[in-house]
Amino acid sequence: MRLLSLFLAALLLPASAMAGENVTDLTLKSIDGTTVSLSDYKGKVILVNFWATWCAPCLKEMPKLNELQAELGDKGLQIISISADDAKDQAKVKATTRRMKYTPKVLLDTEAKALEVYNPNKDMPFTFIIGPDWTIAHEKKGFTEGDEEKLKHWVEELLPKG
Amino acid sequence: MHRQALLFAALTLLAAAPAHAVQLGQPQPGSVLPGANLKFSNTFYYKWNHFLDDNVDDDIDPSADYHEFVNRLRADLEIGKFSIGTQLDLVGIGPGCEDPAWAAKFEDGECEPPRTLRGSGGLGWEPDASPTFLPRLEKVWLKYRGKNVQFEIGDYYAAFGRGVILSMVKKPEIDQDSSLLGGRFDIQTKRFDFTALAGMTNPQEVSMELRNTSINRTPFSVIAGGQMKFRPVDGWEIGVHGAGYDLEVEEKKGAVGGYLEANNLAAGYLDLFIEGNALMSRQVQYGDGGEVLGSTLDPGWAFYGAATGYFGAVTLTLEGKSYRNARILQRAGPVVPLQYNLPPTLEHEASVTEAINNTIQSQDVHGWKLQADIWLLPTDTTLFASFANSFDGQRHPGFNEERQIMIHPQVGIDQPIHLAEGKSLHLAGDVGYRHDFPWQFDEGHDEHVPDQFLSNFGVLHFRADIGLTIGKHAFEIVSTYRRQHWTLEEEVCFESLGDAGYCDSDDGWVSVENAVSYTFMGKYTAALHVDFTDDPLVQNATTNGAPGNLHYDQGFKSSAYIGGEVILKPISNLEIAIFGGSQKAGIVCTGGACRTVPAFTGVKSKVTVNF
Repeated sequence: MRLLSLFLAALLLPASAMAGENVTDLTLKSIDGTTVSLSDYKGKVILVNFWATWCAPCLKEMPKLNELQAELGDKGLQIISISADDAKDQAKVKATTRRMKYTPKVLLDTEAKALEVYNPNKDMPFTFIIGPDWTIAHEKKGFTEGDEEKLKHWVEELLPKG
Repeated sequence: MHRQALLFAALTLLAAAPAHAVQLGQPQPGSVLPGANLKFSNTFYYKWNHFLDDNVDDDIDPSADYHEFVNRLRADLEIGKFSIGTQLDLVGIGPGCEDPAWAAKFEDGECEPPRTLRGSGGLGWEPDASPTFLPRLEKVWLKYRGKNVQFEIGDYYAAFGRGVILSMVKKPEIDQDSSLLGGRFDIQTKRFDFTALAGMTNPQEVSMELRNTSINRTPFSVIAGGQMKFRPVDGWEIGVHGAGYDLEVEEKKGAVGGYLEANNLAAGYLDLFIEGNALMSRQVQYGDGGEVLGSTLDPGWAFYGAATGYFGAVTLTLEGKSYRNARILQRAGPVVPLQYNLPPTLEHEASVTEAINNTIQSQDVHGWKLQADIWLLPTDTTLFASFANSFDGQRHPGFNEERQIMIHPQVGIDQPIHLAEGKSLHLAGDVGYRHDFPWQFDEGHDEHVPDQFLSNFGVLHFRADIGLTIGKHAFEIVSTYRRQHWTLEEEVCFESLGDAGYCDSDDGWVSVENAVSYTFMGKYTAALHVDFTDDPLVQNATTNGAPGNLHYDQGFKSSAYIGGEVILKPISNLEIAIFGGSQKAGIVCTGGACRTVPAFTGVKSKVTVNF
């Protein structure tokens, strides 16, 4: 009975595993050959999205993120998409993002450094949102149609009002 | 065994609880370590393996059912720029001899459990250890992440260039995790990066995909290497790397290479990448008595290049490779190929068959692939077409008896359709065909044998994905089909396909996988899987296959596999998945890495809790 109580108590605690955490900064290479750190966008609302070319739900989510970046980019949103593809598939990553006319920043995590810190179970897709106060406000696993509205709502909550 | 099950459940729950008790993550008064983050991820897995009777007429009872429990606890404590963490796996199987019902079967002799965790090879296991319970400290790490300097001690991952000489990155989606256990040091600046590393290969022993029985500890290999990257201007990168391997199989290997990457050339229309590596392998020969007879040096190379052009709605990607003695370095094992490097293959995963090494990972191959992606803005349609061509200079007995030329065209489409507010349809599909033409070498001359033209091997593959979303309700149908054909002149028997051997003439095999799913609110999913195959390799003992959990049956011709699955994600840190039914053996690929999963009949459930 005690074990059951502990289990239920655990589940009732905050739903977001990382929410409230301070952000660990990371520097990765982007697909255009530059190096990018998360801290380069400190002060903005940063939506970090893990994806891979072999992940079908990820490829369905990316056009929605593209629209979100276009709509809210001027208001202070920066979407950073981190590719979990292996080193050998970098050509595929570039072709995929260019094909989609994908405007968010795309970083390459060929050595799984970002995955180890933020998404060690390699859930795909996996998204978390960093607020202007440099803490993680929300996180979400997977994607089904309609989830983009939830993401937009979360981002708008964090963006400066007015 | 019931006590072990209870122990597992208790560990699962108790391990998770302290994370909330101390609230380390909040920089507030009362925190144990202000500014620290403590993360727990715990996965508990239960599998009931049910064995069917493969032949009711032979008076041989099927194997006894048995249970598997696996608990995987991962903890990571971050304090400032440091983090320290571990992954602890516990696995238990039952029934064991402490179970009275099982022990009663051995009135006249010493009790033996139906399955044991440890292999019989005596490869490093403690002799007095429990045969049904195994704790494993799989991973442990200490990391420092400064802005320009980082170091890692313990388990870490690494990849150089495009993975030709080193690519050790875990793949949790297929439960494959091979790390290096040692040290790694990095300097990272805007224009210059430096990496030095050394360690022992450390494959994850306990699995949530494979059967946790007869686990053999394998000897480790030692890998050391370094890499430097220089970015003279934005978009350009020059890299040099080198690595040395002392492999577990009495082989030493060295590789040095470099690459050039140039982005946004020709006013942003072109990206280029080219990598070259020189390889050297030294293999030791032994006599019958184990004495060293000598060694041979075997040089090789691995070149890879990619050019991507962007022309409005059209993206063209051209890749080329030339590998000579560019072997995939991997842990020895019949069903667990854990690669230490992963060169670009240029091959589609859809054409990968159960003979992984024979289809995409040849060590002596030269080829190219051109892919066009076309995006039609008015209809939001994406079309793609590719053509791959390669010459494989390596024989693969049991798959291709001769060296071969491969061609592989493929076309696909991705079409989202907006039906109405809150209603959408998504169609995606692709179809391709790979054919391998034999190419016989005779007396030093390359000679194509006309009567074997179109007489060897081909794979037709098809995939369709239809998704319908109506408000909070999402439906999806995914169907894949693969058909391999053999058209040999006469029946050929292959001894390499398992103990029982295998003879075939021209029937090939078919593999069909269908899944229908319904998801509500993105949280609750019910799915039905209906698969079929008559692939002899799937049934083969070495792939841990056979229909359901039947033993390998040489007379087996085909089987269907039906299973149902429910996945519940009521809150974001809890996932409960329950599967019941049969699951066919076969290959599972992700990102170019593949592993062969065993057949399964029974019930398995998985509870994942993240804190």
